[in-house]
Amino acid sequence: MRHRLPHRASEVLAIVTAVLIGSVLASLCLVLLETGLRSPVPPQRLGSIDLVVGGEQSVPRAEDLDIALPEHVGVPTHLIREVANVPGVTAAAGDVSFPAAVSDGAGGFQPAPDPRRAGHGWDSLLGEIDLVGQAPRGAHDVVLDEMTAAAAGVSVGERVEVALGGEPRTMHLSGVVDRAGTTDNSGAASGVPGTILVSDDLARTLSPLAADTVDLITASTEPGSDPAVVADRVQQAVGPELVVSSGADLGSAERPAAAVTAGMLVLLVLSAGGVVVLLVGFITGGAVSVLAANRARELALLRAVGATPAQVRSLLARHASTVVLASSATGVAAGYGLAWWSQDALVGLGILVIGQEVSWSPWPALATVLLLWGVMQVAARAASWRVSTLPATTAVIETQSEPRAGGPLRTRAGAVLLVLALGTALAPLVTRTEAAIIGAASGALLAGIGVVLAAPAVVRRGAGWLAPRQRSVSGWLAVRNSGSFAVRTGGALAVLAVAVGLTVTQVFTTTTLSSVAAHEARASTIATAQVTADPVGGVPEGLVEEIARLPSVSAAVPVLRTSGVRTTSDGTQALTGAEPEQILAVGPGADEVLDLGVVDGTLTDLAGDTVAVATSLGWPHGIQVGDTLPLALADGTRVEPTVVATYRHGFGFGTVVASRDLVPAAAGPVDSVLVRGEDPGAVERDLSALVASHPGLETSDPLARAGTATQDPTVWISLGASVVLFGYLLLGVANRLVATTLRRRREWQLLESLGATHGQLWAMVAAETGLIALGATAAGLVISLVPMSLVALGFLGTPWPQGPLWVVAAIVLVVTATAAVATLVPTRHLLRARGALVLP
Amino acid sequence: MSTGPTLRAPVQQADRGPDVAVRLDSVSKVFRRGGEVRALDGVSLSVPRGAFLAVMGRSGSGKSTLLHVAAGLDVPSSGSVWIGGTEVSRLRETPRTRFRRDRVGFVFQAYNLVPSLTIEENITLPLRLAGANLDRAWVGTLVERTGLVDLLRRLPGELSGGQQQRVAIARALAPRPAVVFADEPTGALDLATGQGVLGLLREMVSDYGQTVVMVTHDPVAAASAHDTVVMADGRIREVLRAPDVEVLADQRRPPEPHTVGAHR
Repeated sequence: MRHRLPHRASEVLAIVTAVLIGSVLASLCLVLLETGLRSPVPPQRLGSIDLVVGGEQSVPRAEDLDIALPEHVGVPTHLIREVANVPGVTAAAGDVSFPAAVSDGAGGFQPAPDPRRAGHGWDSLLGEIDLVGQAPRGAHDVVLDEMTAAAAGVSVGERVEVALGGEPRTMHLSGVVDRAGTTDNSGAASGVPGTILVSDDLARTLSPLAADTVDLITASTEPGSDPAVVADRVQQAVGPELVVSSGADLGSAERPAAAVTAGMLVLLVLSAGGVVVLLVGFITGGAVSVLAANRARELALLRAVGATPAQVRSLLARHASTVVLASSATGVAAGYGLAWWSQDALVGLGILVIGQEVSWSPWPALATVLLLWGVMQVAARAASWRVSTLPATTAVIETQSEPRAGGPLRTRAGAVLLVLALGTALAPLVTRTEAAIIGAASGALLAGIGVVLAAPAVVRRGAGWLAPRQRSVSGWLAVRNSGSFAVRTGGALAVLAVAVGLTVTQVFTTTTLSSVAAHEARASTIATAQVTADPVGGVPEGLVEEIARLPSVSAAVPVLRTSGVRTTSDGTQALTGAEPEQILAVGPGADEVLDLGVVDGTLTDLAGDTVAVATSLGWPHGIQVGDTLPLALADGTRVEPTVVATYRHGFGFGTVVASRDLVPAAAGPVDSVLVRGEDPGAVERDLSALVASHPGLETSDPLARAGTATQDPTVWISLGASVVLFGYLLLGVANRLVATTLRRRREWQLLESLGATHGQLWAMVAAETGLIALGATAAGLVISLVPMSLVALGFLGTPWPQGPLWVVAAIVLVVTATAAVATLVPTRHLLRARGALVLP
Repeated sequence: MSTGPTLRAPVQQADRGPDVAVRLDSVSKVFRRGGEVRALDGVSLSVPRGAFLAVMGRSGSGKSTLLHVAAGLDVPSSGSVWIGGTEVSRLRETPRTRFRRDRVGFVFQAYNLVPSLTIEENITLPLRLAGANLDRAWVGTLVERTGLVDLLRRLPGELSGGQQQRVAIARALAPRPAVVFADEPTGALDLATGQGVLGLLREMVSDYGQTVVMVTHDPVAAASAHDTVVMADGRIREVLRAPDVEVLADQRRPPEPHTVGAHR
């Protein structure tokens, strides 16, 4: 039987919009996922190099993805000679980096993506670069790329102001490279800004690395030799511990941090992707179930004339799937466009490194279309299951009225979920960990499902209570309708409640976390000022002592931000479930500038191989004072520091505060110097004088960089994503409300035939919509604000949620407006389309 | 201008007497849906108070349109419709709705009970919508006469077809309307149940003087009425006084042998 149902505009529109937006979101996620997994990191400086030898840039982790290390692991210096001696290798050199910046010609320094590692030795390029002028030979020679030289307003042979290792110097511009290492013929990636090259001897002295280690070894091969064969020989020469890269892998060897951000992108997409797939299923499924409900009578009649249940289901599935192809193709195109457009934004947020591009392949498109087609098939069959399996005669009669209420099992399951959600919401009162906040937030999702399950029963009861209290017949009818069609009312109400709840939770989790971080940072910073030198890559060591010697200063403590992951005691792999921890490496005297809320031990012991651990990390993992905490640092260095203190304020300063001696990278300039003095005014005057005489130095409020949560780029992405998903969810609800309203023509005609005026019908519909919006708002705010209030109570001691109230107001307004528009517009349409008032 | 045969009381065409419940005066109704269809063509008819009138005719004869126009559910293209002393065809939508709500009752083939309301709430719904005072004694009497006393708290879905139609009759009569219009009230019922419903309608006419106009294609149903108007091609073809079933069955016989009377 190849029966076809005619398409109706309103139904088709509902499905098309659901599929369209679903496929935009799904394809965008998949393109970004592929980008995170496969997008090659383009080489910058080392683009013309044949081979690069580097360390293993990841730490294995049991039962999970390896953890990528953001900094160069390093290669023993003595291997340079061995690499150079490999047959087929013409030259090899070590590559080290150091903090460097170039004057902008106006007293400041040119901005660069990573001034901390902007400077390099000349030899690492192996001469394979187009140079105008001379290579840097002497201790005062520097080579810049064309753009940087132009921005500094200097040409070859002139003097140029630079900062090396954080110290301002006047150098001699011996040459200019026009392409900063890239020799690809397209020329697209030419002119990577911020290339600063000096003689290898100078680079070596400026690098914080020990003399026996280099970041990478670069090598060139004989013309005409097979690079793969040479790479194999090099691999044998350096041993299996090191990684030999060539061709497309050069970029990630050059910039290991790219692998970290790519992993971040994958995690982001995976976490958002689950919700997207869920919503796509939910909303397209909703649109199809509306279609099935509208066509129930037709389908039942088909059954009556001899169609088998399977035929009826596949008829509807076919009917719904016809629109999938066209609309998902359009959606995919838009998704690809959006991915292209988001490329720059992702680079700006630091999720992609500069020069990295979104990966393009047909797989995301194919997967999206298949996904939506599959969802549609399943949804259509599920939606028509009931009407298709009823005996043919019953089917025709049954379809006259809708299902009425959820069973007691459903209600009980909902209640259980709500209780569980309340349980997770109480967690922050017991444990002060980030996991507790996330747990409370996930509890909102649980509660949302609970609301969906329990809504019909609650609506029915609520209506039973409200009905006798209604004065007007319209209000009374509205309440009785809502209660009798509890599944219909409860469904719309619950979905709106979930939309409100999840969005408010998402926003408030973010604001609460950063509010907690800011609160703790405020509470624990006793420094009165802070000195930074971000434009030049850090505050040089010598300045720390100079600051400390200022008459007004009683304490000046250098601070470096880095990261590390907890490992097994032998250091071979990361602990199961361990994620990189923020590490604040501090110099001696940390307790004079920071009050971390020490619970046990003391910060004065923080010297040598020691760390202090936040209770949010220590408490769940049983880490106590006196224990050792094996860590793999950002450059892969394995350390086993002793825990000398535990502290409460983990949100403000990260979960690990380490002695600066523990972190090898701390040998170079530091991120900031926290300063304290009896008279803040005098400190400020002294520091201002110091800053004035040291270009690149800045002084600021010590809290200026305290809140770490708000600086996380993923926060903005997940907030943006939740706004988009909120909109998608509302679209789904609106579709459903429009469809159910249009289906009530008969009901209203009946009421009219019994004497209901248009005014009474309007009032009834408005009251029903009001009830839904009110109920949804109330339920949504309860499931979101209760856990957020408990988080605030647990962490800040204030029993109200931390976040902008206007967000709540805006969300409630949008939800109410959506519900109103989606019911009142079709109502107007129905009441205006007045022909003869004929009832069958 | 009357096109049907001239008749004497009790059912007359265009009688202007005071005891007339419903009166149609040269009523025409033209539908313009892909071509002009003249559903009613200058029909004049008057129904005296306390009459039980059946309207018969084949599908497309105009009997349903006659009912809709006579009840004020729809307005005629020309001519006038009076219920009691009110010319309903001249009322605008809202006053016409109010008038209908106060003065006209309906019984439909599909019962048309509001599924979300209990039987009791269904019966009193028109009174609530009108904001009228509930005449408890009268509603009590109705509930008793229709045999619904034990079913008041049930929902329509839990009742049989016959019971639902009794609810519909009680609901139609609750506001004490000037006239009750019934559209194929037994169309969805089996013969015995249908007879019960017709008996109930007839009792309401004989015991309480209720005027009832009933559209039907069923000669057995029509035989329960006092008089029967036979419609064809939008006109009244004949008026039969207290006819028996055989006569009525003859009226249904199609003019062309191969035409089969379509049912709903």
